[in-house]
Amino acid sequence: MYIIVMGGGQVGYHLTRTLMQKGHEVLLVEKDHRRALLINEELGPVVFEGDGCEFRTLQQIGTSRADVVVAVTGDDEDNLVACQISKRNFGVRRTIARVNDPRNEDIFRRLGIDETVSSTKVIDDLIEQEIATGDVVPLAALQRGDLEIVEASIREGSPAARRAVRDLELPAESLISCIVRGGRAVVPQGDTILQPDDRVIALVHRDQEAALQTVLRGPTPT
Amino acid sequence: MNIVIIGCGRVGSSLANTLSQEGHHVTVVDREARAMQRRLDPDFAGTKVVGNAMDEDVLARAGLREADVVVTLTEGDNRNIMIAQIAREKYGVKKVLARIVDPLRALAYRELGIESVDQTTIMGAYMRRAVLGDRACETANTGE
Repeated sequence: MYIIVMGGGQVGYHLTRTLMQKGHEVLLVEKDHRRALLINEELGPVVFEGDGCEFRTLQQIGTSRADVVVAVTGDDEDNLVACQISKRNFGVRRTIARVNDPRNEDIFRRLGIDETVSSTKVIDDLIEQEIATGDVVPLAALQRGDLEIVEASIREGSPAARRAVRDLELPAESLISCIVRGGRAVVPQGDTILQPDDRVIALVHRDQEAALQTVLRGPTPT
Repeated sequence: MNIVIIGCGRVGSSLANTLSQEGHHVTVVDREARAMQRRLDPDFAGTKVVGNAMDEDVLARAGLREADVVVTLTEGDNRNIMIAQIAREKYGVKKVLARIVDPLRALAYRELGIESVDQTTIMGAYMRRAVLGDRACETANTGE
């Protein structure tokens, strides 16, 4: 794939290196002359010195044949414009923007950016996973965060312990997709009986996380 | 009319002063309180909001929901473009004007419904007329 990375900061540099290692054709666009030289020295000639929001730059680097444009500068407005112009004026099918202010995620999607990545939010989520004392732990968010993949471990005395999956009164928008038992992943059937120490991986709508918690582990402690 | 002006530089402040004198309700947003204090008329009757317009709380505070027109006049093209799009998409402002210095970017966003004011082309055409005087029309007509 031909991938264009806009912005040669820490994120752009490491992303470019990883994508190169995976064998992609990568071009990194960076405005700053010294930064461009430095990265070229380290990674070989991958940097195009220029402004990724300028039409001339986008023409010169063959944006119209790019499979993906990823804009990861530290300025949300620059990431937005680079992605929008790449998409609208150069026909790039997939644009990914880093969002520095997590509150911008929603508006970026509404303005046509295919994918947004908020480092602040990713770190928040990781920390939440680490410190979650509640029993249902979010692992990942899907579809802009409306759907979540969560994990819950079944204990002796949990309402779901020693009951068949089909007998659980699961919330409408939830699905038990995997059970980890003794280090092995099991695809559950209706008659699979949940055992203490099972770890249940489920897909659930965010609004129904608490309801799922109640079914699997009992009411949320307050 | 209810007008919100983002960016209190020379153009922003001059526009705000004029529109306010003409009886419109003007709200000016700028990161620097001093810029507004220095550039707006002492009897400026409008509202001043200090804050970064890239922050949605600041836009809400500036009353974008009730605005008839929003004009973005900050220093950065992309900043103006982004704020203009937020004003349209999120706050449903009908008329949104943005200063864009890069003519190609101005054209691209005009197609997206942002009334971009491309000062480079305007200034260039004005200077050309000033330089050529009467001959400006002739050469323009021959398509040179």
